[in-house]
Amino acid sequence: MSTGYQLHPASYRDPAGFIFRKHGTIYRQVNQSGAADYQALMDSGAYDSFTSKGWLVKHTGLNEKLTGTGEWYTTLRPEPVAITSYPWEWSFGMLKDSALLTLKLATESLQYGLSLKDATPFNTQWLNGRLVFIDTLSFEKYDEQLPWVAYRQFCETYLSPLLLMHYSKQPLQGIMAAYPDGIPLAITASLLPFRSRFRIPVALHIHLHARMSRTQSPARDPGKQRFSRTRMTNLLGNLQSLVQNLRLEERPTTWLDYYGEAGDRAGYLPAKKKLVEEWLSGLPDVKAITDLGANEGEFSLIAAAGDRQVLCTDMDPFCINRIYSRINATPILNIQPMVLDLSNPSPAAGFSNEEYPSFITRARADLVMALALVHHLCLGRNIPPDRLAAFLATMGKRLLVEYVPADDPKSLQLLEHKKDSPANYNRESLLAAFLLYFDMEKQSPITGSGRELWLMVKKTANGKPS
Amino acid sequence: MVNWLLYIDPGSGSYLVQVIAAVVIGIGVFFRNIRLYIRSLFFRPKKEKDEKKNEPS
Repeated sequence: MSTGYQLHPASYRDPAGFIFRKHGTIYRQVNQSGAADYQALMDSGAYDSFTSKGWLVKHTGLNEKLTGTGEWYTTLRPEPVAITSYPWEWSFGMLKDSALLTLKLATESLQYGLSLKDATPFNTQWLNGRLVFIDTLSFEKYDEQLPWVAYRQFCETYLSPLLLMHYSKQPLQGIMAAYPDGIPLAITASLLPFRSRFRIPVALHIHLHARMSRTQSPARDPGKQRFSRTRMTNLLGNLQSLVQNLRLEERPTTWLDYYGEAGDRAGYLPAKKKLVEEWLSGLPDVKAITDLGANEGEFSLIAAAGDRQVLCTDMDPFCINRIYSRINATPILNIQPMVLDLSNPSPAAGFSNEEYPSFITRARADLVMALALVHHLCLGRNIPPDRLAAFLATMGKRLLVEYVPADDPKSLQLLEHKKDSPANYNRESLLAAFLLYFDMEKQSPITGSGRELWLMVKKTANGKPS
Repeated sequence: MVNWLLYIDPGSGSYLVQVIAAVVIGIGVFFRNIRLYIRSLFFRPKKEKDEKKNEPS
């Protein structure tokens, strides 16, 4: 039997097992060293309880040694995640929900004689629209004498960014990208305002923690610390109530409520919605759509109505938080929101730049929607139209793009402090740039504006439509 | 448990902080319980309005 498999580049930390891909399917191997903890999860009833509540990813157990490694104990085939996203692509609400799910699992695990041995946002993903914990091997047998081994990791990967956003009232996705393993406590403590020291949980979990991490060296033998189940429950409960009370209030941004304002332009929004609906319904083979610059996801919702998988991105974390709240409340399960600045998409990160692939390598769609976006990138960020067209051509087979003229009120807003609009931003040059990579399928003016919608299909290597 | 099996470093001082934090939180929980007990003598406890309150927001 062939054992050719690809080890997941991020799956090297835990000796209990690893993730690998074989023949296009994702598997998890449980090693001998993780066998006892894995069996404890399965035999205690925790797995059944957590999966039935939708907290933990379901897997199929396979008694097949697919990798041929000597350490093998068993192989699992977990439900696959369609679109992987990372904490620096999440809005405040998304990170907070991930933190609360982690704490809920850590608390409930105790009832089954288990504890969570790590607590990082990478252990959670949205699977079919629901936030689930995906690391089946994060559970280990609980030793009541010991404090929580993942406490510092939780404080650095969850509490630090959430508290910094709460106190600064600013979305800080960029800081999480700079510190994938968590923001060091000393940095968080120095950035938090002085008044945060008077909030007891913050004083304990961040300020005292940072101070003691500096002064205590090396780590004391954990066996000598006195801990108990009650103390563990109190600690987890306190973290939960702290996280529950953290907020990032919306503040007015240029693009928040964009479509509320756009609605004032007579007939523009209904006409655009009608066109998009009609054109999408004529494309039954389109199953995955990436909506770039989605704002509050008005058009992602239209795209999702056809049972397609939609990746809804915008650079404004408040917009993404709004759509996240909206799809949670409904619920709509086939939209994945993501904070993304297209002029600087998430780069590859982690060890050897392989652990967390870049956005571009993850984003593959049957159709890319770039509605009311091109003028932002070309006029606001000075991105040349031909380079933008080349970039969009890497992301999907089809493109639905909205042309916004330079004299449109929104374009003028972008050009307000610039001397002149770039010479290459006009209908002809934009069209020429896109036609280098795409062929036009449909085009139509949008009523109530000077704007146009273009539906295009990517050219193949021989210049013919794909 | 064998320490070398801890694949994440719990961090210098992290265990000790938890002990201190748990004691401080424990004192808070103790007084909160007393307060809730006294309150329950005078007021009926409110019904849980929504179970989903504890679900992720």
